[in-house]
Amino acid sequence: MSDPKRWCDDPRALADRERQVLLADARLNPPPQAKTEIWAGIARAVSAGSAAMPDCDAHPLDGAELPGNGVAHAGHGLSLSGAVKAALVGIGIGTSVAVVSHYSVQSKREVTTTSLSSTPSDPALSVASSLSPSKVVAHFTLPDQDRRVSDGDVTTKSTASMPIGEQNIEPSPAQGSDLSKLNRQSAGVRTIVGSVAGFAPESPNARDESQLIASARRALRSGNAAFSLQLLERAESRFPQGILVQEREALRVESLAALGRTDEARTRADAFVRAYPKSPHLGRVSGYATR
Amino acid sequence: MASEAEPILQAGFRAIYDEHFNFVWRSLRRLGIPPADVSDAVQEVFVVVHRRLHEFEGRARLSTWLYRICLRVASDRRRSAYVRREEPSDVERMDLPDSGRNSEQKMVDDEELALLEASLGSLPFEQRAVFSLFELERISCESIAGILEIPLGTVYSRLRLAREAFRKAMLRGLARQNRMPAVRDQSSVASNGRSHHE
Repeated sequence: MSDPKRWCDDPRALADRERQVLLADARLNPPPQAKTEIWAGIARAVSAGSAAMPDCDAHPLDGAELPGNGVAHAGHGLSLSGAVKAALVGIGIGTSVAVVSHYSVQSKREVTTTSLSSTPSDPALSVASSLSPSKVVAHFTLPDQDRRVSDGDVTTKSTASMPIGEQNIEPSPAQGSDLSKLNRQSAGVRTIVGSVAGFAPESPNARDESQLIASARRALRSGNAAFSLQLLERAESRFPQGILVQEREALRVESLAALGRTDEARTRADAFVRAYPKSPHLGRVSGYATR
Repeated sequence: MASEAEPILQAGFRAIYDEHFNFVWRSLRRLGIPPADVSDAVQEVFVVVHRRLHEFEGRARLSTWLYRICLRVASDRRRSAYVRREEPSDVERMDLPDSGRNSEQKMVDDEELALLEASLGSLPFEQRAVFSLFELERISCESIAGILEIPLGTVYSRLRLAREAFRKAMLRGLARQNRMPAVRDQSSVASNGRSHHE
């Protein structure tokens, strides 16, 4: 059996007018400016994603108190951003996947509370100037995928019916969702994570740091607190002023405690509470601090 | 991913974007993403591409890989909020380009495009993919079988069914156009129902 002749090539297949309909396909091409505009959008989404998000398991903000949480409103009702959808899509290829959605509410709330001076129509606009990078990142930490699957607040995507391959793709949580949403809402929000404006992050450090931190977290969660501690120390020596300092220190407290080094854990916890009284990680840390 | 690979990846990604942007765009359009949403969908596709580039092996199948991502994005959107837009064969409800409606040629162009989209829209998603890859992208059935990971026989049968359905929808649309004046404003198109026009 061989391929049939294409309609457009077969003079007898279509009347002229019908052929014109098929040929209208040529007009499905993008307008001239689209390529540049979409590239800019991708750049923002990817930059935000790689700079802000560990590419593996982050964990939920256990018991985190969000500062100033009485004024949360403007961020609600935002739908999942394109980046989240994209991530879902990517993960969904050949696998079943569950991605957490509840973090976005928390993070939106936080963003909203810091943007009281902004115009109501675009709460994201003032975020860049009012949030420090570390604060943004800390609040946008993703929950742990595996853990959240058993909880209620999970959006599940099952494998679609389309026969798409790529079976060996390792699922990973969505990245950069809210940041990219914000970035896409306003081109002026480029500085939301450090000075990420172009396609590549200013330096690859943010990503390296987040990978180190994420690995440490994984080690701790899987019971290897000693290894976690090593990774955290490495992260500290490489990125003493990293954007994930709070996350790193919170993990260190937990790791020390898990190793039975309670005195050190308490010292560190006290220092943490003093340094970051409004940290979203406070709930995890304060339990180890001196009462 | 090793951080040393990042720059290479970035450069490679840009090249892929430049080379395949149009392909991704038109593929998504053919798969039913309306004009208003296609930019967003293209962005989705390339964000996925960027994230998964390091997993991709072998340039020969790059377009295959890209097309699968397009399928996934399009199918995902169809299943969610975009399903309601899938009212196929309703030429009146298609998203027409809304710029410059003053020339007659433009009008005809728009009508043809709308009819193409409506006719594609009358096809089930799987048939639509086969039909557009074969008739519009001019890819061989064997390659299509590879892209969609279905047997060649299935490609043929889907193509046959798709052609039947497409022709039917197209003829219906053309017949409707014949009953209407060649030049008219958009509101008359919108108000021309099938029932009260005869």
